[in-house]
Amino acid sequence: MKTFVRLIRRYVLAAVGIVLLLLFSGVAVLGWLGWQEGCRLPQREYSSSEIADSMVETAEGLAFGAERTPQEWMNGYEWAMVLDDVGNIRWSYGLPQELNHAYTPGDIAKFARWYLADYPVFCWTEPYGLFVIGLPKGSLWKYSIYSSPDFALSMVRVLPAAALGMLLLGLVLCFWLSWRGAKRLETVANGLEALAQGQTVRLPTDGFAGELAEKLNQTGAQLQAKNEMLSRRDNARTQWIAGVSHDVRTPLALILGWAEQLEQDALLPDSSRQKATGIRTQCEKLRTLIDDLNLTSKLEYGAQPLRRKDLRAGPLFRQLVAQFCESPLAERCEITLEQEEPAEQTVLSVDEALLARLLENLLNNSVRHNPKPVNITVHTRQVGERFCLTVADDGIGYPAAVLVALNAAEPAENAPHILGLYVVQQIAAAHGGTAVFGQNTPRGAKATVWLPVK
Amino acid sequence: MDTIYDAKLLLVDDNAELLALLCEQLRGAGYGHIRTAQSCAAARACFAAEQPELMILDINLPDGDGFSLFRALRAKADVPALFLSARDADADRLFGLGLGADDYLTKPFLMQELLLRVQHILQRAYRAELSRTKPAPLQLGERCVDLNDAIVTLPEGKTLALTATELALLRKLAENRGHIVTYDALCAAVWGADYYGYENSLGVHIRHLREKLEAEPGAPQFLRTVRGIGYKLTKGEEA
Repeated sequence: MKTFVRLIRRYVLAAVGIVLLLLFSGVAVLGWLGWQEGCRLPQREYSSSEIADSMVETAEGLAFGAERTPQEWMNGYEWAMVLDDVGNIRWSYGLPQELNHAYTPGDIAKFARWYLADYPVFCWTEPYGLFVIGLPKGSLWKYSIYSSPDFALSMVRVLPAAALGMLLLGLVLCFWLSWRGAKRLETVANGLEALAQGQTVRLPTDGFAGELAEKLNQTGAQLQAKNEMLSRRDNARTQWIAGVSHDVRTPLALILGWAEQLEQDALLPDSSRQKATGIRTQCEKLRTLIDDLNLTSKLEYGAQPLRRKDLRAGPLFRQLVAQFCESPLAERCEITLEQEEPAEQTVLSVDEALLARLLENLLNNSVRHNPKPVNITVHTRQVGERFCLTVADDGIGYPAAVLVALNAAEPAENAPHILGLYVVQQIAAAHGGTAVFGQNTPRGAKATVWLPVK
Repeated sequence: MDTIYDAKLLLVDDNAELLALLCEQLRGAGYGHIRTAQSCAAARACFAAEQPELMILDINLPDGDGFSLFRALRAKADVPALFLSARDADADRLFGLGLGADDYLTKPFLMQELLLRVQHILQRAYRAELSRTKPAPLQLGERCVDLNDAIVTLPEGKTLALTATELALLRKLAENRGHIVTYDALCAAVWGADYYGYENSLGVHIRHLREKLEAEPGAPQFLRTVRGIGYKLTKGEEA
């Protein structure tokens, strides 16, 4: 909207500027033309009326005023004459021979308005007669203009209003055109914004911004096609992993079931039952792996919906740790749950199943990667607006390569297999938190998960 | 039905080997009446012939899906059910539980876990029926607790009475014997309330209970504390 207003303001200001510029340049051109005209008009020392007024009656008849010489008076003129009441020449100066005759009233009426034998002339009525003075031929054009008195008056009255009206009309037109242009550009701008947000764009392609809109439509269509292709590929990958994991589950259930059966078969020798235990343990590892693989692909491609619920941390972690204590893995560790008072009351908005998976993966990691039984401490606390879950053990700690791989931005080619911990990172990230892995002091592994507090 | 092991079970899965394995394990655990079906049609026929008391259903079946089958069978009788499926998506699990199934277990599963879940469902669903037959008294070492009469019998024959709260606590722990019961679950069972505000009361009642159940209340053999989490009534052999 800001751009819109700015655009219109700029348009209108530019239009006003152009009008003013035209006005000033028009005035300047007129002034210049006037000045040029002044230079071009025949240069006369005295006006015809001044000369007519200066004429005096002397004993020898009429004569120029004595204060100047006849040449000075007649500077710029060709000739002059005075006619008496019946049209006879009473006096003349430099009058060409062909004009030296009596004039009828008709002649006088004609040349008074126009020319006398192509000489532009001015007339002046004086008590001593009609003073006629001629300019050089071709030095002046004479016009005659008529109008009704109303026309002249109304011109004086209406002209300023008309000028103002035209200026206003110009401004309104400018505003309208700029508004239309801005409107069209705004459509293009909206299209760009929609495109930036990953939406589909279909703009009308008429008007002056049609070409822009057309290009934008093409870009949008291309982006959409690419996105669809990417999402199809992601979907296919997620579906494929889900399908494989689904198909593996039933055979694995059988292997696990039979292994359990053999493990409990009292008729079998101990060595065979130990092998059955081995098969069972490996099956369980496979099961965890399948779950993690499925979950990680779903989290990676956004196919895992978060089913957030508001849960109080105290009961939630008691429940989750109790669940783990019931699992066979718990036999190989000692778990202590420590919840600080404020943390216990904290309400977290989390997906319970995913959080259970997060804790299970961390606890599994501690148990499975330590040959000897370990002591695990699950600790919760609240730091400002964040909830902190720490799972620490006193085992052998994370191998250096694992820590490097977990902290790397991109997975390396020969990175160690850390799917379980990677899933922990993904689950934390899906909840808007982070998971940090490090070593415990004096020994062991320590994972810290930060989650936002509701 | 006198015990849960008299319950009639209906297993529906398209995999014959898995059915055989399940049957064998369930029989081994003591369940005597087991029927199996490999398709929806067979399951309906079994259901019509003899109404089961618990159904264990797969979801992917050759002639339909377990969800529809469950709905169809549930419409006829309110039989508890457990879904046993290779479908692990949350959506499937929630859908199954949303339909009213009692539990949902994803393949592959530990047989022990399945047996425990089946046991829980049956105990919960047929509690009233089972309690008509007098439950076996709770044996804690040399002491014996009658949960119906709330009486603890000492080895020398002397008896101690349990208060209502102690009895409620002990019932909850005995129902989950061998498993941890969180503070929260105990408070919900006894007072129907959150743990907060009941921390001290719970501690006091547990101490009183130990004085009645344990030979040495200072070093409990049966009613163990799981620090930070809850309590656990151990089975005899763990003691």
